[in-house]
Amino acid sequence: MGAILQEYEARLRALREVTLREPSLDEVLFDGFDAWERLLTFKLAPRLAGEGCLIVAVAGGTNTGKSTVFNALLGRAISPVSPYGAYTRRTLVAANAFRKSQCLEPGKLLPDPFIPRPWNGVDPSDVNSETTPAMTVFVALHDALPDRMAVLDTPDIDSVVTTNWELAKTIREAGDILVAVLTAQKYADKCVVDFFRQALRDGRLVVPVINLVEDTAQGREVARRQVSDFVEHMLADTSDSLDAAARQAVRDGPVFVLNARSQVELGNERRANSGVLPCPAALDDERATLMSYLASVDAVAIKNKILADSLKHFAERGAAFLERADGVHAAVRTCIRRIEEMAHAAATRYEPRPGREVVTVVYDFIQQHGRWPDRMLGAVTAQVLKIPGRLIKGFRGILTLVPKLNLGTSGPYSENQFGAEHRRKIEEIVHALYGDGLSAAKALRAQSPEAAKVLEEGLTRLDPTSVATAIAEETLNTAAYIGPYRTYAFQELESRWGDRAFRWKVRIFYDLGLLGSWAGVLVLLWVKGWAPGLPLSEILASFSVPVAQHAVTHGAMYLWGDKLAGLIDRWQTVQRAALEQAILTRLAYPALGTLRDVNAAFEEHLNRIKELNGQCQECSSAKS
Amino acid sequence: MQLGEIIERLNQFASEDAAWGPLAGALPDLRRRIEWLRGQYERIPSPLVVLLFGGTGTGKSTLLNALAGAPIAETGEMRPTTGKPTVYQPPGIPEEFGPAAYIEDARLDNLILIDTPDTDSVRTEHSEMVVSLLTRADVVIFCGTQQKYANEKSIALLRPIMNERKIVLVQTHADANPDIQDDWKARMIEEGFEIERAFRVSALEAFEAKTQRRPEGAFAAEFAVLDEYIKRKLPPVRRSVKEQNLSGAVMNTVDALTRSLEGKRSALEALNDRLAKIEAEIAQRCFEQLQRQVLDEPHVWVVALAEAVSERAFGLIGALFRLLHGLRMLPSRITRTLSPAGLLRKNRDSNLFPAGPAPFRSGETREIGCCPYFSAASFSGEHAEAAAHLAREGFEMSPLDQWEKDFVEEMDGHLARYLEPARRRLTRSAKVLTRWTLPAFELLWLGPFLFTAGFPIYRYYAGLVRHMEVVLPEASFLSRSLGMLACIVFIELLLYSCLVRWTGRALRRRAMRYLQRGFETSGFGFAAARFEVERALGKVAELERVREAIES
Repeated sequence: MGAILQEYEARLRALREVTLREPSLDEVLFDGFDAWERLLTFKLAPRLAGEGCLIVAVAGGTNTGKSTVFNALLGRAISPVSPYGAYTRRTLVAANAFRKSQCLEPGKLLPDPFIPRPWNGVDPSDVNSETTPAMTVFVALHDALPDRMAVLDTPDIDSVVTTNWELAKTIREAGDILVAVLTAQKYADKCVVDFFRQALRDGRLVVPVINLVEDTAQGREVARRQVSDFVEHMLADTSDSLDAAARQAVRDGPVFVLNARSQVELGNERRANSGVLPCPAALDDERATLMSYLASVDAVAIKNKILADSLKHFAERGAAFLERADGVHAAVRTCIRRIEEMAHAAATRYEPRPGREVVTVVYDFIQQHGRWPDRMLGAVTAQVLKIPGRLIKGFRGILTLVPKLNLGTSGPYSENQFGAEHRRKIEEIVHALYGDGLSAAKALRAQSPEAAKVLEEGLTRLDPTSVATAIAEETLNTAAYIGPYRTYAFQELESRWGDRAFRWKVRIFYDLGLLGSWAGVLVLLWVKGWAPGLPLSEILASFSVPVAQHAVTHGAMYLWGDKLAGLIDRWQTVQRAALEQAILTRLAYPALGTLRDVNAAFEEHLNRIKELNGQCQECSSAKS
Repeated sequence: MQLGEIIERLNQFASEDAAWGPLAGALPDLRRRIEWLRGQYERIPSPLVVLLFGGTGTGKSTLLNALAGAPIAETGEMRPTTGKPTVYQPPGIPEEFGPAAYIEDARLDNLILIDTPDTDSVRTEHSEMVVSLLTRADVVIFCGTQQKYANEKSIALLRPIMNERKIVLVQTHADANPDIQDDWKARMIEEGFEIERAFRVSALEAFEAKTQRRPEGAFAAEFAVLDEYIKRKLPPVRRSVKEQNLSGAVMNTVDALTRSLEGKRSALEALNDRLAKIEAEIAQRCFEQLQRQVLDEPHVWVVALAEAVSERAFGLIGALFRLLHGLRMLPSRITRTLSPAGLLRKNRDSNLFPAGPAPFRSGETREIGCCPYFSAASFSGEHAEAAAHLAREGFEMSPLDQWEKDFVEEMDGHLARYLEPARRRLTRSAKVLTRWTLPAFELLWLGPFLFTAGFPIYRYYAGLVRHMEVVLPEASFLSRSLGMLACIVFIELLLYSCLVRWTGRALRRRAMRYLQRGFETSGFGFAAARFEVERALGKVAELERVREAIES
């Protein structure tokens, strides 16, 4: 059991460490589960062995006289008191010599996070000092206490000093018996009632003590009625964790009516922090009964009950927590997936085209790998292919009156042009993705406002322009974009060149088709004879056919040549993968920020925590 | 500035809808708040509302009873006692505080005392009731005891309305507890509240003394001061109390608004700069492209001018010019007609200066003359960049196609502004060249012609020659003078052509200058976005001004 809880705690702590980096997410995940987490840290994990020592914690609202009751219980003025509210800010524990030495050993009797310090020799104002570390526990020696009991004085649970609340809550988890110090004014306060209700749920024994009661029969009567009112308030909404018998036991529990006034008020200020407390006679009886009641409680049974109840409560709450964690995890995962999908979609939109480079690649390849007929054919076609371009160029040179047709393709297609064009494309894709990401974050708000906020903030932190530039740089990381394409195209051609059908396809598509019509024209002319009688119009007309065919083929090759031969696919895949990678590392991951860590932590721990929680559940049902 | 004016200014500030996310997000709250401010402003002359406020068991009801001198509110020892507010008000006032016990008393002068339920008990609906009552309160009498003065729950309710209500601290149960007024006051001031007065009374003692159940106790004098303070001192100064509350509220409102918007100013300015930069980039690219395709081709202008001139030309030089022009244009006409572009072109007559509608259309490339040029889609990269930056700062802008439409419209406008005057100038130049310059040229060859033709006739009539045979000049004279004439005509034609050519080039330079100047100073589809950014900046500045007005 101990090992399970230890692992549970370790994993929970690891999870929390990650989520704490994103406070809003942490809040939605752990909101309402602080007590549950504290239960693990302060009670279950370290105290499982069961020391047989009851921790009695005196708790209550500010200025109800907790410290005074604490002093009254011990019969000695140990804890300093003040008429002003929220005076006690740090915890004080009284124990006998044996238990004191245990207390001073961290993790032995008091859970690890507490820092024990011996009380003697300490300036009493340290209890009230904010500079003392919050988790400090001052350990005072009180020999009159039995071995089986240590008494704690705690800060308040309702004042403006909210750090006191936190401290009181940790003490609540660490304690076994809670002495609830009430007054006529405070027994129905929400803070107070909620505080003790939680303690009841966790299986603690709550002993209501009403203080500052008028010492008359009527006063006592009213006080008892008020306490029963308090008990009812406290028992409201606890049916889920307490059965009817337990609720009845709480109702039937003893009630103590005190009128413990501080020494200050009793005019004994000088002896405030030392010596024996002068106790009013009427109060002394009640005090003695309270002490004897506390002493009579069966420590082992209480301990076991608390452990079983705590475990049960813990496992139940754990299940609720895991359900919520599942929700958060799902939201975070959706968020990440959505962004990754968008990055992928954006990368798919990118269509890198090598342009007319594809034509030269095929002829270059044929020159290198083809046999002599292919090489010859290829060389001739390459030259023939250039004829229309040259004609147009020459024509244009003569007729300067025709404005230049700037189709953006007729000039030599340089690496620079290629790079600039693709850079613009990539930047546009990234900018559009950035805007889409923001709107996706807005759409995610409905599902998980926190995750959406993290994403939105992450995106806002990034400067779209610089990110786009960086991504373009990274994708086109080399000056030679066409170089890699040629390599891939060559590989592709090589792998398919052995295929006869492919070879013929290339021959027909790239060479024979073009040369065929020229040959046809030549044959036609040869048949008709180079006679001077041959009309010029006929010669021109027969030439126009291959010229038109060249124009069409040239255009088709430029537009679809790469696709037809399937030469571009691998290159495109590689380019797209590079772009996707760049988008992920430069845009998506920085924007997602901690969400990814949180997701990783969830993936790592959540399932194991579920298992552990299941084991806890089994354990607690076995115990009860 | 008066409070009312400031509230109206705030109202004006909030009345316009905003496309800027942070401001749009703050607007609904702000409007509700202004509504409340106006209500409070209108209530300035009405009676002062004093709220008895505090945790359960602090003796609010008892204090009200003691102030009224009669058991009008229920008191008791079981907590929480009061579940419904008790409104103690002068007669003849409407019941404005919802479900409550209304008790009228003619002794009250311009004062409404309200006993509220508690702030901290297990009955959470009580504190909700208190919150709603607090919206109407002018003065909050914060009741506390030694046990309850530092309660987080009560102070948490007051924190959001810090400096918007006058707060008076009253330590009750004075007879049972030591004095904690100083500590209380110090804590409240530390929290940021302004505390003017604090009292320490025993309400129960005072109530019982008033109802003659027991003699006056030790705290009677202090209670009398409190009683006097609430009933006599506060109502006459209610205007100033309420005004002070209101100005605190206005200040808080503006502060909250400033907090949420202030940090964005530099970001907005950066965005504005960025948009300007993107726009300048687009302008530069448009201009470069236009220059490359239209303006850098002087012959286009020369041809256009020559066309216009030859339409109007007359006389010998004019006829020769037309002939020459036709000859020069012949190959280009042929290629134009035979070229694929010429064959495919729908409107064959379109030239550099179409008189028709705007030349830009979204998504397609239309041509001016034979120059293909950019489309709106070629700037989608820049638009996407601008959209990304706008979205980053929280502007909810129109989608991209709207931008493209805007861009096309604005570009159309620019080109119309450039093309129209250019066409007009071209026509004007053509007119000048034909009406004024051409006659001079015609006269220049007419003189020698007349001389050549007239000299033999003059000689005959002057009797210098007698016989008709000799009237005709010698062949040498005729050929020489006709040769001279041809030379003169040739030179004139050359000069005239050069003049036309030179004018065409000058026209081009001028048009280019105008266009460049126009592009430098105009927008390209960003008008709406920049307007919104400017408006957001204006709002931030306006807020600053309101703030200054309040402070002064």
